[in-house]
Amino acid sequence: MTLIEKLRNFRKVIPDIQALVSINESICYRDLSDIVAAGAATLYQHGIKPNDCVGLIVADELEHILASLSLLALGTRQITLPSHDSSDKHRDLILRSQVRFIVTDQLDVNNNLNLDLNYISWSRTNFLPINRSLRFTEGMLLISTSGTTSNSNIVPFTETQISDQAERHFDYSHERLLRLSSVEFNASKRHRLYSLWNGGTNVFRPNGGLQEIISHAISQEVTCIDVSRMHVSEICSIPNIKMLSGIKVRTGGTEVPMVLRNEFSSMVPGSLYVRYASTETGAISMAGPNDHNIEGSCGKPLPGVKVEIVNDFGETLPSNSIGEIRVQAKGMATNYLDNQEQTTRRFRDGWFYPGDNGCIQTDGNLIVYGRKDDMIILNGINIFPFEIEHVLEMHPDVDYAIALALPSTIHGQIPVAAVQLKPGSKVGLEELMNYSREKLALKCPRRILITEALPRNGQGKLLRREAQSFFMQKKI
Amino acid sequence: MTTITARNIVIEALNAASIPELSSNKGIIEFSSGVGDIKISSLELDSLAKMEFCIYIEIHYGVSIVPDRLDEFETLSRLASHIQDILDD
Repeated sequence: MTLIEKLRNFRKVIPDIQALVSINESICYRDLSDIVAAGAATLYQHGIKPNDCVGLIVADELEHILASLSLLALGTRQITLPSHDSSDKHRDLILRSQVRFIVTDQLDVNNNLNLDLNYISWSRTNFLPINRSLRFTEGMLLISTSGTTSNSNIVPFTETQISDQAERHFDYSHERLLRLSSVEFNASKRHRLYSLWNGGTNVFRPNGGLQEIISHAISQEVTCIDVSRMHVSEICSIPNIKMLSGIKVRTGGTEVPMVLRNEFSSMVPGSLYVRYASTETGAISMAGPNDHNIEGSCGKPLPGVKVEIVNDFGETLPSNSIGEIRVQAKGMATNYLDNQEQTTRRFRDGWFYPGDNGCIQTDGNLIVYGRKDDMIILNGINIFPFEIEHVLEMHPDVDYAIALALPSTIHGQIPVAAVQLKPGSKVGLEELMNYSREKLALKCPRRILITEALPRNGQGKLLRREAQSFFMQKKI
Repeated sequence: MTTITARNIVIEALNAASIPELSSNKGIIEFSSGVGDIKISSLELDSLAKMEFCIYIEIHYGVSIVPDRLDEFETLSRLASHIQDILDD
């Protein structure tokens, strides 16, 4: 059943359950389906037709979701153009996706892109009556990848694929979900849609700092807060962290080192969930509160997801062997929109290769070691960046660390690192070098740079390429 | 770059390679002040030490030296001169 069909069903089955809750408004499932139908009819009257490609520039989270659902109901292809992104970024996505319409809540959006586009204002006050005789084809989401380790790709998903992904998150049906990152970030948007597919409640964050957001979450009886790794660190510093007891805190990926997981879990036991996912597949596995026992642990694969570890020849490796991760999942993407080379490289024989190294333990737990391309090879010695990063981050004065490979014609690659210290820390380079040498021996970084802030994207993810450039500039 | 500076770069790199008892080596002290010289073979550098020495020079000063060819310089002063020549270019 597609998302739009689900919403029509929920109109009758769970009419009074809150679907979307913002500071100013609460929309239950009874009204949501009608609003979406009216939105679709209105956009249709403005000239948007099924299969048209539409760019969405809507910063208000609740309105963004409504606009997105309306576009799905209309059978369009839509792509989010985050309001915080540059014109150049917008232009790139618009041209690659062949966008013809822009739906926006921003009255001052000018056509400074010099492109032939139709701008349509999104405003529920201008909605036309619902036309229930209108029936459209399935819509499509075009999702741009974050591009943290390579240039951004565009991944097309049909509504059916989104629904198949949503099925993995059946627990969302009774969750009241708050996400710290905006729906204009694709991962955040998808989980909002997963929540709706499962009949859950989406609570949108207020403006303000972490403390205000958590207070709001508690007042709204939020059951699950989704945060970035950076937020997990921040949460550990707030004085009344214990008020999070009973609320699940979910975060993503291998960037959550054990020292941080242990610190968080000691303060708020039984709360932390760490997810491994990719844009192309959706969520792959989840480490629950009892799974944080080994560095890189990402739990067992979710229902409907198959994970294997393979060698360079594509041969499946036995348990506890380190190799490349590949994933098969219902609803996963099958290609990139406009990158045949990457499609051929990443989508092979029905599997998707995220480009990460890992292993599957005997108990089925997936351990992710990091990007295959990020592996540092120093005179034949394989070094995973996370090995260096986690040791450095265990130092009491280090907040974040990123390990990088400096190319060398003689040694292959030389491991180095950039660190961001905790506020007020005064640890010296020599101490850090001695510490890492003692812990890592041959795998230690041969140079460490201390920086005020490591480069990150809007979602808080560390940007390895930018860090590499930064290091190269500072090297000599 | 002065000769003394280049010589001190060599000593920095030897320290990074964790050569034992370097600081108490009388010959090193004389070498660092511009007098005297030391045969590289007398330091008995193993392959790991040579690798660390060369990595240090490359990463801090951008000078590439093949570890297996360190002995060809024969003495630390020749090695220092080589580094000085490259950095002065």
